[in-house]
Amino acid sequence: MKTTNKAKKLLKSNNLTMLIVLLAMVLVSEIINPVFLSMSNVMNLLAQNSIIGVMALGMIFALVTGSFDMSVSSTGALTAVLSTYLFIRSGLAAGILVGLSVGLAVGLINGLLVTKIGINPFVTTLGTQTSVRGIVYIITNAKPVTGIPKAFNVIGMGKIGGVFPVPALIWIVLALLMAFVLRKTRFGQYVFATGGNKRAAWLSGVNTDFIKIMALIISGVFASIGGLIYTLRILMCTADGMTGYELKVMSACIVGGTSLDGGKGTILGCIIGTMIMGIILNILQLAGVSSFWQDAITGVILIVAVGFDSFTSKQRS
Amino acid sequence: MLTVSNNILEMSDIVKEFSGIRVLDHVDFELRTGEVHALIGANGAGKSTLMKILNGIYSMTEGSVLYDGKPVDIKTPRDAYRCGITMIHQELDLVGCRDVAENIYLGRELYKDRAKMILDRKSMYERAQELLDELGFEICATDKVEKLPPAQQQLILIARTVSCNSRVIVMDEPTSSLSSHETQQLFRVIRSLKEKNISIIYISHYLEEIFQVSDRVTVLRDGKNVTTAVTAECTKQQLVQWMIGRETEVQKNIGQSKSEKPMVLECDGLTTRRDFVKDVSFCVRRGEIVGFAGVVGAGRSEIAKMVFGAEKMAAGNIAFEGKPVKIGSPTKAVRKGISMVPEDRKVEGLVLKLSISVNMWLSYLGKCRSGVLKYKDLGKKVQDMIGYLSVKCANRGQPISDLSGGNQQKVAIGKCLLNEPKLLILDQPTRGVDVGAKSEIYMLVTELAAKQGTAILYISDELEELIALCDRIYVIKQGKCVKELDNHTQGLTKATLLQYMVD
Repeated sequence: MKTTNKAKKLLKSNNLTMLIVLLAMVLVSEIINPVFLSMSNVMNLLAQNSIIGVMALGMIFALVTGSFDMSVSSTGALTAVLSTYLFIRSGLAAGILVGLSVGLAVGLINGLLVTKIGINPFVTTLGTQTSVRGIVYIITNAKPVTGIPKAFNVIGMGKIGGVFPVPALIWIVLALLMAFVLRKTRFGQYVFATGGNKRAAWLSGVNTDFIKIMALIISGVFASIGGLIYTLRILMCTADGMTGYELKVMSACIVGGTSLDGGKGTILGCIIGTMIMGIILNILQLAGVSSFWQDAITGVILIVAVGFDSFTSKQRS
Repeated sequence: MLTVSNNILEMSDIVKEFSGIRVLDHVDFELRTGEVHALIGANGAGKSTLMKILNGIYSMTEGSVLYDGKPVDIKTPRDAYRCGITMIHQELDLVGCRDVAENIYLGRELYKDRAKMILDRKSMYERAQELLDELGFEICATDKVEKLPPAQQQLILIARTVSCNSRVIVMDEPTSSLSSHETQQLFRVIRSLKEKNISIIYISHYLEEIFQVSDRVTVLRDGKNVTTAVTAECTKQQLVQWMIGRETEVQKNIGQSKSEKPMVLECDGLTTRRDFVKDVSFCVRRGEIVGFAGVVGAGRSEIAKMVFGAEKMAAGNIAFEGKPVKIGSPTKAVRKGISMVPEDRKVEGLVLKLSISVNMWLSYLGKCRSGVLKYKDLGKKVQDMIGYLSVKCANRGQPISDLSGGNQQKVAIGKCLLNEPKLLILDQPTRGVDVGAKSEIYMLVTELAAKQGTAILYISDELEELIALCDRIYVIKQGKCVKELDNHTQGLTKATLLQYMVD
């Protein structure tokens, strides 16, 4: 009985549509290029998308509360830079700790500006994105920083049993954690209520400002985790690192069924969205399409996904 | 006697139904050239609906409109405007960041060239200023609108309607944001418009104004015509009687007086910013149902929201259970044991995107000790509440938007009840709710007060409801508490209540 109910629920949900799209894409990709489903390509795909995937897990909180976070790319870059210095001088733990506090700080600033001053989240986070990127250039003087101990590479490039990439494992563990937070905790319920109807949530006793601030902090911290994986992958950092990631991360969320109006979104959808985006780019790579085209297509996908969401909600009303 | 040809406007046999519910039932309305015609009725009598039909905002189900002796078909506000009918809404629809002349000519700007590309600002300002002077308004055409007080903004709207040769102006509660001095200024303007043969339909809740400014008055009740009379020949009592209709015996269900019970809420001198609500004092005891009566816009909800921490308080003191408290936000109010069912279910009461369960336990979650949800316990609580309130639904995971208005309202109430509040504020809990659900809500409210000892603050437009349920009733008028009535000792009728509300 219970399982049939669950099955019905899944059938009705958007996730299933997305899952079908994903499977169809896998099938098509396999037909186009038999290399696609090879073990090494699949693992490669997981590893490549884990940074976007992890950042999307944070971004979804901002989006579901009806907010927005354009600053994740710069937050990731600043994290990479500061942690690189600390990895070199003080070791792994210090680097990770300082790296995460970058996301916490940027998220807190975003949150306070959005809730306490009341600036539009898009403008706020676009502003912090630019400023934080400026700080990255100031610190690095636009020069790449290298010299992270090779041993740390395990986190960015390591493979468990020589097969399964460590970043993908981090992604999966964090996804499970965030699915729990979003579905099984009070905070998660408040996140949905705040995004679904801020006024009603507030009048029910939910401290909606706090929820919005926390959501932006989570988005910032996950951007930092993304930045850490990024820098431990290439064992260096550059001033222009992770440029354009905010749109990729947002596309992953929106393709995965997160609504820009807030109040709607799932972690599973978020993962599927990330994979769909990743596969599209992977196909283009395998087909040898230039990276300029990949950018152009990312933009188109974002607009199509948002358009689909807006259009269906327009139809409903 | 004036002849029929003097009617600038004749609305006849107007019927309007909203999803099968008839809100206007064969209403007739006539307006003579150059008269001020007041339109009155209790809250929900159909005044605004009738005027929205005239203005093309709503379409009528049946009926016809004659304008200047010719049948007209008004489908949009633009059609009405072309005819020469304009409505001045309660919310002043002006573009605040532009100046007076630009607002007067909004949408019909003057141009220098035929192709309408280059604005002729010079003549716009000259002609706007001429018009303002002619109307006797002391306003400069180059002033920014947002810097002017509400009264002057109202005058700009009037100037706009005059400038586009409107012959019928509908004023919906024009004095709601005006001081008494400004009201007198508005009345002078209305009289001078009359001399220009402009006809005015004047909607107001306040009888004083009706007697001061109108020539005739039409009374609506429950969507039907009651009468049309020459204002000077009426008395206030008569108007109130017409608005109420035949006084029916209200079945009171209020038990014993609670004057001995301990105080739950004591409010002293509550005042909002800009004095919209001023110096309101009242109290609610344990197990007592206290009503707030008043016309729409009198400030009842604002007072309730101050108690709930959802409206900023400029002055005043609140004591809860005998102790002075500062309630800065709804979060704190809920923690103290105060819950509120807000007036607008869809905007303030519920998260329509989410399920029945989530809506129901949303407020209760704050009380759970653990931040991790215990779905089993929560589900049981919600299921019990669904049963207790007899919410009609397929299952508790259903989206709340699937439910009927009455059942949605029950969920909104259930959300508060899960908290077991000591004070429950109900703002129009029976609005847009079917008859069955209404009586269930009445029973519930009475039971809560009697059995749980919940103190209840009950706001309603329906006077019958207040008389049937409330131990005491405060009458709120223009942001002030004008009267406290004891339902146990005073023989309250709808007419006495309404009299205090409008006079």
